[in-house]
Amino acid sequence: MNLISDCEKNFLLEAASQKIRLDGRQKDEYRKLNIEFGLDWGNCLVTLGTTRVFAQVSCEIYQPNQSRPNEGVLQISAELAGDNKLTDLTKINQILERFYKGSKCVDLEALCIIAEEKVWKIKVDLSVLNMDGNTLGCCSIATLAALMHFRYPDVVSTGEKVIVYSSSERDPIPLSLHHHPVITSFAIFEKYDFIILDPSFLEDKVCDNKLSICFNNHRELCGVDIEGCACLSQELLMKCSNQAATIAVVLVDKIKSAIQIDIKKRSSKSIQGLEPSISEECGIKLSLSDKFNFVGPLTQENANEKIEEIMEVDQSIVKVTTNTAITKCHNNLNQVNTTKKEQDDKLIIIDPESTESSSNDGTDSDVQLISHYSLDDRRTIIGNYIVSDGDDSDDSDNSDVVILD
Amino acid sequence: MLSMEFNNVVLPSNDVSHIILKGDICKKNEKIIGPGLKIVDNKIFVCNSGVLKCKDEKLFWVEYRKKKYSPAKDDIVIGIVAAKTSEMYKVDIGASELATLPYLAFTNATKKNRPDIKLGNVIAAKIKMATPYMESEISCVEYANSIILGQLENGFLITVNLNYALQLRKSNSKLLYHLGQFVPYEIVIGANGKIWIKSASVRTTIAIGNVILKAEHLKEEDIPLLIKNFNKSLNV
Repeated sequence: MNLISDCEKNFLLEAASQKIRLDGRQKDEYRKLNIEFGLDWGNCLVTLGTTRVFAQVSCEIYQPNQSRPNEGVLQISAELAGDNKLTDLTKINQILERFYKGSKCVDLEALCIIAEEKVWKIKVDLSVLNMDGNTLGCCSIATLAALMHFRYPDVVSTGEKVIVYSSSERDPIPLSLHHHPVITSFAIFEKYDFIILDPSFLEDKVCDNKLSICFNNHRELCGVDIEGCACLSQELLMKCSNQAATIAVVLVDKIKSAIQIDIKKRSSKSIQGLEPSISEECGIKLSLSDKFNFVGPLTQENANEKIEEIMEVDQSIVKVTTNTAITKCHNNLNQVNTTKKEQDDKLIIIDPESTESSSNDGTDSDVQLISHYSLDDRRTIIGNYIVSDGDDSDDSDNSDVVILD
Repeated sequence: MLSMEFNNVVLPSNDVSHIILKGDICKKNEKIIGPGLKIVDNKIFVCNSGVLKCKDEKLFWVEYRKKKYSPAKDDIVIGIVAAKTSEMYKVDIGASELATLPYLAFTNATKKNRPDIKLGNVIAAKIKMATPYMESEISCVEYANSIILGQLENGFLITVNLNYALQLRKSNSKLLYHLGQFVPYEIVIGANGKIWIKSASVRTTIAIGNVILKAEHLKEEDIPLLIKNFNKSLNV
């Protein structure tokens, strides 16, 4: 199933050239993120769209490395659940280890019990339950959430003896994290100058370049990984990293709020664990995916561009002929809209006579369009109307003015 | 507790022998059980959760959300060419093993006139041979009155579950008919759950794909609404 057919590839590239994403998302839109915590500390299930990663943090007492006798050990390993021969996750493992160890987000020295003899070894096991793009991003969210959620048992060393207290005797201690790094993934279609955030499985496979940027919640860069062969400009990297920084802040906030909710639930002893999120009903919802409310690709970008163009036309008209029919009509439209908005009516009915009088002839269809549009489409109507007028306006603008003045 | 009847949901390990074997209209050996049912010790058990179906009091099966295709003879499937050997293509049809497609199994193909198909191309083919012990063999030879087989160019592939693909293939599927009233499009539905769609523009193709994916869990009455929605999105 890892095979990507030519059909899909070409289609996706064509869509990319038109700046459309298959699931109707904007190019900088993240899928729905859901973080659930299990009954144990450091046990969480992260769902990003339909990508699912389960994380479990465990700890054990371990002999430290000779080179770093007073530091604990952090180990991160990701595995594909089920048949793991199909996809190789070593790349993801490497990146995660590099970013999380390299950025020194976990205070490893605090994990030392007796220097050179006993330290805590923190192990993060990630199992990827469903791969639907942005596995790395999802894994990093799961890692961070699990690490932030994890508590390790309290330990007292009395010279010779080391006493490990169970959770009933003493409250376990959370890990001390200096900062919270999160990885944001981009897929880059170089040819079409199309950079997308949170790529889906197909986008991930087809794109020229994969750019993963790790930022923490203080907007500090923790690592960059570039996969692929396109050459990236400095500007592009800066733009992406700015975007990644803002997203990282949002993601970390989300994780924090999820943890707070979980802790509140724990104190009120109403935790249900992962059971509700794995139950059948949610499974069906998951398979339906979040694109349920989306039929056609509404490229907002194109629509915006159109509107911008129209605005230019509008302005030029205003410059040439102030207080003309068009501007009046514009005002009328706005007035009608504002009044109608208060009444919560679905239809705008602009007195067609005035518009007809303003436009000489042949624009009957436009007038009809306007009188039948709904409130939500206000901007585009104005656009349509003016564009159709504007096309003529180059020649007939002045005549229009003459007639109306 | 669910009452076990036809067109009702059954769960694995449910014993349905009493409803299948009830009545003496026909003898035991005239009843045929299909996928999702199993005989153990002269009793019929359900082995997949789904809806129990029956036809003419004779054929019984369970309809369930199945994604792994098991090849059956004369099915039309859509596959992706995964490998090439000196004599045949290996095609991924979503089954447990790759299917084989000999170079000669194309219309008008001879030893010298080989089909020009590359890795990753999508083909529509008919299953010629399916045995549980061997790789299944497919062929693209077109007979009179058969649908057009061979390479599918451009367009887009979506994957649905097998059951839904079969539903869509039924001639009384209104969805595809209604869609065709708004937009001209080409579609090939493989029995292996892969659907190939081609239309004039990227937007319409995406929209058609989404409508098909969405309609799976909708009731028949809601489909006109969906189509309306679809039409609206095209006209924006």
